[in-house]
Amino acid sequence: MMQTVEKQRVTGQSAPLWLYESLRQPETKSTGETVVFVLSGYPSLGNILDCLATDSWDCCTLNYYTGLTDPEARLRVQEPNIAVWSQNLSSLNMAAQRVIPGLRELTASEQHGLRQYRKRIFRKI
Amino acid sequence: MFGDDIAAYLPEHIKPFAKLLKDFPENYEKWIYSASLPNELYQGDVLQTAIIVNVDHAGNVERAEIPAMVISCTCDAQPGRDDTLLIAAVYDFDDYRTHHTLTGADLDNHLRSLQRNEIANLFYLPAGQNLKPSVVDFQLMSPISVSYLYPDRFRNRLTSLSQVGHYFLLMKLAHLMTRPEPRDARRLQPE
Repeated sequence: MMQTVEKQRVTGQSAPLWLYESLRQPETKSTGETVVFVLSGYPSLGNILDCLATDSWDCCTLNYYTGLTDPEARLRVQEPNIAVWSQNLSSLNMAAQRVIPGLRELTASEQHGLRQYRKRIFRKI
Repeated sequence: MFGDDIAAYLPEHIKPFAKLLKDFPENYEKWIYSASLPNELYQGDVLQTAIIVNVDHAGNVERAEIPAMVISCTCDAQPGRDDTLLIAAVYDFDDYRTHHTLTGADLDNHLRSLQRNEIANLFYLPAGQNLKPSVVDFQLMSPISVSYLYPDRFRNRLTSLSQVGHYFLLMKLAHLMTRPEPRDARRLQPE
């Protein structure tokens, strides 16, 4: 089989996000033809199927659908809804306040000191 | 609702690190960084040198060529995505301490809060990989062209965050940028 491997998009991400972005590309969504994804340089990935089976994706859920008429449509991406995003932000804030109980803003004197320090670092153009 | 159980707030891939976070700041320097630099630019990576631009109180443009942390999301820092990404100024901790205007107990208290990451606007980075103890200034974020960093300049990095280290950064960014306003906070209406 002849196969062309194009420059991969959004590598440097987790494998699920990489696959998610790849699946979203228009050419991937076109019907009929088999699409081959080549994932390389991800030593901790192990088995891609194990990865797909986890529920730890931050960006999306990849679902397997069985019993569909179109065999090419077994793998579908489900994007998170606004409630999921909102929950993520809320959880980050709640975790922050528990991990760092003393989280606070700069005081006026601290802000003054920071401002003075910046004058040492920055130069006018 | 969840009491002090931090794990209840963590995504699945961070739950194994719940104890590390609960014990913070103990052993912070042991888990904040990844063991090696990734091949591509990640959110939280510290560049050895980048250009930060600011407009001062008099309207003058000023710049500094200093280390900087990538603030933009990792996917937006890849070539072919956004034109620019956000970076934040990074200061050498010893230099910051030496030249701060606070003195005595006030300075000690400030530095202690800073090293415990209690100050929302600043992010303390302990020594690691090629980085000396440093302070990230979230008040001084500046855009930089992605094209300026690629194909080679982005490789000049001092450190990269671990999985749990990255989550720790997101916690502080979320608190700083997206904390909810109190219910009685009202904007002034135009007369």
